[in-house]
Amino acid sequence: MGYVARATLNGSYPRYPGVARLYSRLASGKLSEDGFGREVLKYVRKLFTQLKVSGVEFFTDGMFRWDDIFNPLIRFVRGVEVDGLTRFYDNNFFFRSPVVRGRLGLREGCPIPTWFRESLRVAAEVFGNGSTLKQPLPGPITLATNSVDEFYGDPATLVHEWGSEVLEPLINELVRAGCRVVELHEPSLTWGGVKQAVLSSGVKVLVEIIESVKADVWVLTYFKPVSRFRRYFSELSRAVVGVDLTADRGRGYLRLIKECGVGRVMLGAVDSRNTLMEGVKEVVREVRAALRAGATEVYVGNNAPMDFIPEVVASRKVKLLGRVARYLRGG
Amino acid sequence: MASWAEVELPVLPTTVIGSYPRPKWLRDFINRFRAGRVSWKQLAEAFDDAVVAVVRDQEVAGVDIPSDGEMRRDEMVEYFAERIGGFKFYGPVRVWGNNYFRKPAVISRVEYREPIVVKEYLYLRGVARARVVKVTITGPYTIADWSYNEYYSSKEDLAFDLAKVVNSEIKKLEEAGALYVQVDEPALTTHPEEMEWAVEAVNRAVEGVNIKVGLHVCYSSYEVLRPYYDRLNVSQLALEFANRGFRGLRVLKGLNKELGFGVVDVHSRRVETPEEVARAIGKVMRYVRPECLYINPDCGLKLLPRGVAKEKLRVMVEGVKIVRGRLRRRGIEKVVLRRGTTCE
Repeated sequence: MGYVARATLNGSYPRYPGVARLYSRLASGKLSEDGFGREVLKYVRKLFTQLKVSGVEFFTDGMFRWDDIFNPLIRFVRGVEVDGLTRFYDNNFFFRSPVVRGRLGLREGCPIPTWFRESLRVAAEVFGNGSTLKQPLPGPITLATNSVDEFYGDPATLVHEWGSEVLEPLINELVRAGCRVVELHEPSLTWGGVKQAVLSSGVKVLVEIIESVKADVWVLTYFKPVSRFRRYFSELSRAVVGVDLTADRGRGYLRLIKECGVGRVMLGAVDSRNTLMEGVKEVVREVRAALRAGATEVYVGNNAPMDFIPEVVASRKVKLLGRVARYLRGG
Repeated sequence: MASWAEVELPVLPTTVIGSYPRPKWLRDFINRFRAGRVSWKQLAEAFDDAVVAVVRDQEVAGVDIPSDGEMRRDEMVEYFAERIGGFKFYGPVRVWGNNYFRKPAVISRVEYREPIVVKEYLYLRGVARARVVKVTITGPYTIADWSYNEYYSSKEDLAFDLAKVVNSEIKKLEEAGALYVQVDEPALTTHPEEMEWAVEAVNRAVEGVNIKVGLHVCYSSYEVLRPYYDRLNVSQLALEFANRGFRGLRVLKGLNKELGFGVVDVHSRRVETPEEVARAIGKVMRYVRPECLYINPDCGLKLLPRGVAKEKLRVMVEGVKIVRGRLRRRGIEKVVLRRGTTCE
């Protein structure tokens, strides 16, 4: 193994003030869609430069073109209408929810693979080789549980259709655009309140995706501990499984490694819901605990999307991730 | 000033939740203030003038109980955190789309320094024609939940200290003559496992208060709120229903308080019709008696263009008039401003 743990940025990074201004200009008609796309790449470059300096080798493009984990993806899905605002789990953060009114299917011309290709080009310019750009997407369980279903009438079918009719074709397009790693965000997998049958169907759908697509799949859970739901994870052992350590003070996640055959883990050790800074040694202890438990591949990153903290704090936390990775390499 | 004995309102009193769009000229003025081109004194005068303008909007629309539109507040948590001791700000965070607020961090024990919104109330009282006006205060649980906690050992400890602060402020408002305060708790149901103490924190915030207190909760699971209807020591629950397409009204079965019923969606620019509003009120009256109903938008209107907000209020009042016509035929025309915590 050539590394002990790698630093990773998962999901979104807070929009820079300049990105917020681009949105305002777009909304007021002072900037075209094309102009917006060109301008936003400058901020993607800024983020990548910051990540490179910090020593973060696995990352996303910050999702600056996304409002939340569902939007704009759901605007490019047949059978879906975009509804009112819904709270994102227990956060003071809201998303427009998908109302399923017809058979689901990915529309032609979904721009997400094109955006990925553009960000990948910038990543290559900033990093050269040796870095990995990931594409975050909502997982099928999270999509289904956050949908208002007015068509299928059966949650298990809904979760299956999100997976087979939307996510799989999209990931295949992303792979053609050069994507090698996909993050599937699955807070609903461990949130609680989802029927066992739906979770079981959802995990089967995840397994189908993991086995069929030509990309490495990360299944990221957050906001809740994983231990209550660990039986579902034994089927996901091919994936990198993300756990939220800030929600799991009792280290219940170690049982995934010891008992469920999960060897590839992303430790969400840096809290993207609080401004309080973690200590390098405290994070290092968690990595070592995972390695002692038998983890074969460890990533250390933010526990959840970073929209919940100011950019100035997110920047410090990203630097901390880099310091953790360097510390573990003995640097 | 109206005293309790004489306060009577038309049935289905119409009101707002609190915020209203700032006039364009005020937004420009605030930008000029931030750029150092106008003084604080000039800005304060502009705020006062804006309150007159938006109260007038509400009055023209026919709203019975106006607010000052929260003209002076950039955001509901940030405004209070700036005026309560113990907070620090790092920068803006996104709430949805491209909308942000400066989420505060608690870095030391929170403390009540001086009245926060009493002057706002007195100014509103002076310029409004209505006999009753509404003053809004962000509740202790929401301030705690929407802050980063860098100091307290638990969010519960923070919320209970904030409850003391809010309680002091409501008592100051009562002393100043306020008749109707609304505690805003949009976060209340977001952590179901915290509901027991969260409800207790709200009750501490209103302890010993003898004026009407409403509680606003929005974009939330009302199923989580339902078991606590009895325990909340407030007169009214003001809830959002238009945004959810009036789904789930059955949760109101067993409500033993007044309901502030949200009939227009503040997150959509489409203006509802009076008939839609009347239909929604008709639906909710299957669960809540008209004598226990207030009618309001789902939430604060501040994110809408001012013209749309004004039109939504007009339509809301027109819809209410349709229902009032029907109620008049049943001899139901007036209600009193209740302070009690039950209405059945």
